[in-house]
Amino acid sequence: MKKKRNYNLIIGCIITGIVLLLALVGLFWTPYPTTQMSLELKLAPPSIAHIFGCDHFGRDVFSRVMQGMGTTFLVSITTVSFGMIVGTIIGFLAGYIGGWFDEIIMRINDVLNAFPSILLALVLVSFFGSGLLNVIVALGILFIPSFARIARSEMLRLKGLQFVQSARLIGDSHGRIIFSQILPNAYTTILASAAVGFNNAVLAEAGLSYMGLGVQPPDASLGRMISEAGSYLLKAPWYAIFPGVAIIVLVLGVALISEGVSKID
Amino acid sequence: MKYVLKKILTLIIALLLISIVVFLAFSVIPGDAAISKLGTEATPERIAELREMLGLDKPILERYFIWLGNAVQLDFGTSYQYNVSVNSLLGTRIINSSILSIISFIMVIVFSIPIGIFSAKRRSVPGRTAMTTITQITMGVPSFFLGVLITYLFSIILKMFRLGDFVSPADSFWGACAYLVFPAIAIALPKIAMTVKFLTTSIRAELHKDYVRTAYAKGHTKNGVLYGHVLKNSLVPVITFMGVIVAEIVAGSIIVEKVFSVPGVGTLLITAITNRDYPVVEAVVLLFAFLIIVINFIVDMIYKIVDPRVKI
Repeated sequence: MKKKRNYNLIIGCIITGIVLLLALVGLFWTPYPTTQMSLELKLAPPSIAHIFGCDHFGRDVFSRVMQGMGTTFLVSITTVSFGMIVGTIIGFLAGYIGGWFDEIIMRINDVLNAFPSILLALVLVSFFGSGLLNVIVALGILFIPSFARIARSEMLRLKGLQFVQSARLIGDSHGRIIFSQILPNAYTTILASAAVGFNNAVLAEAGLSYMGLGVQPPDASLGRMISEAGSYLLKAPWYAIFPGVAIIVLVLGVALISEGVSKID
Repeated sequence: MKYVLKKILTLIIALLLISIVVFLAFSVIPGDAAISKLGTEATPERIAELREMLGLDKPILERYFIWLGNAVQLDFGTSYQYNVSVNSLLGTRIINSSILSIISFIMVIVFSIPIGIFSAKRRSVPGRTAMTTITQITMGVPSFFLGVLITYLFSIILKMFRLGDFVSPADSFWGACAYLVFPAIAIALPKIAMTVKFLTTSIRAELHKDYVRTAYAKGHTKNGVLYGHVLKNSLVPVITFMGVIVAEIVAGSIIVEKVFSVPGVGTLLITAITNRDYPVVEAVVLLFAFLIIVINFIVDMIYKIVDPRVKI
């Protein structure tokens, strides 16, 4: 039988690859300096020299989108990794120790899980204050509960299996059981939910900077660009559209990959 | 009955937990409210006086109970920024935000169920791929960007409304609704896509069950099986999902209100956060928390009525 091509995975990888390349390059080099202003180029439409046009200060939108994607990408990767590592540790411990510890952790988790992520992010940002670093801290904390829940259920599933029982019988330490028996079997599930987490992080970061709580000017960020472009929609719709499309492409690529990966069996 | 009581008990515990967390979080924030109100050059006597007036000199446990007692009586104190009671700020904004959320929710229900059925009926590979692609892209669009696109299309090109021309529902209820339809689309569209995806999966899973084969064997037509048997069962998990959707709508309205400059709870929260106006932030967060927990409770109750097998 002919094997079906996994188009989701292929297209997702291509999109994410291109976006990643642009974003990573954007952190170090952009076609024009992102803060270079020019009066003549104020709200200039897309042209060969400025393929995405220019903003209200005459700055090149393409360069700023590149830098903004880089920032969004860095924030998302950092926060998801942080949430994943801390959440996995907490979830593993809750599942492994069980009893009242598990009960307390999971009740807190239930309450936090009921809240939409953007609301929690807002609460945390109001607590820590705005700015890029605080957004990273807030989003990092935000992602802990979902990973803790997944790690715990993986731990509960694997804990009772025979190879873990045997490891315990031959006298392995708790740490060794968790790291060399449970973790290698649980990490695929945990990584799969990291993709969902990544998309939430991208949307949350963009949303927070749209509200003016994330990256502070003059640094470029996709959300803030859309927010500024809102006042120039009549004259320069491209200024709003390109950063928005950049966010969609970023999210879509990772979503396609995770869909594709879930079909591999 | 025991189920209901147990649920109500967890509801109360959850609310108390949240109130403690909210209170503690905003009490340990560096920067005393009295100092921030008077400025750093105030004399120590003046600060001590104001601290006493605001009740900041009392032990934290006592302050919590005073605060909780007031909150239960819906008194959330005075806004630092506007110097008026938080209640007077919230009053009409709650109505505006509620209308917005209700319109969005109606849109989700009205559109997602037929589209979900339509999508589940697609058997061919191109049809399925097209539906998944559309839902996937719609889900990835941030609601505020959607808001900007809608403003561009309906306000600048089609001139159907003017941004910022919001009329208070007290003056003209339908006028307010007509304006709020546009932000509601921005909130509802990604949620419609989420619900469509969920419903499609649910219907497809249901179609493989034994009773469907029996129904076909009895001579039902395709549509007869779908509408008479499958749909009812596949809507049951959607009820729980609606709880999530309502919470997402409430949260999504915060940012979309800003896009369309609707004077609602969301815009109030954003300005309060930017200006560190903690009494307002506390009140809004408590309000949202209360709303979400109550919604989850209602969803659980409906679920129990629809599917009596459910146990906690």
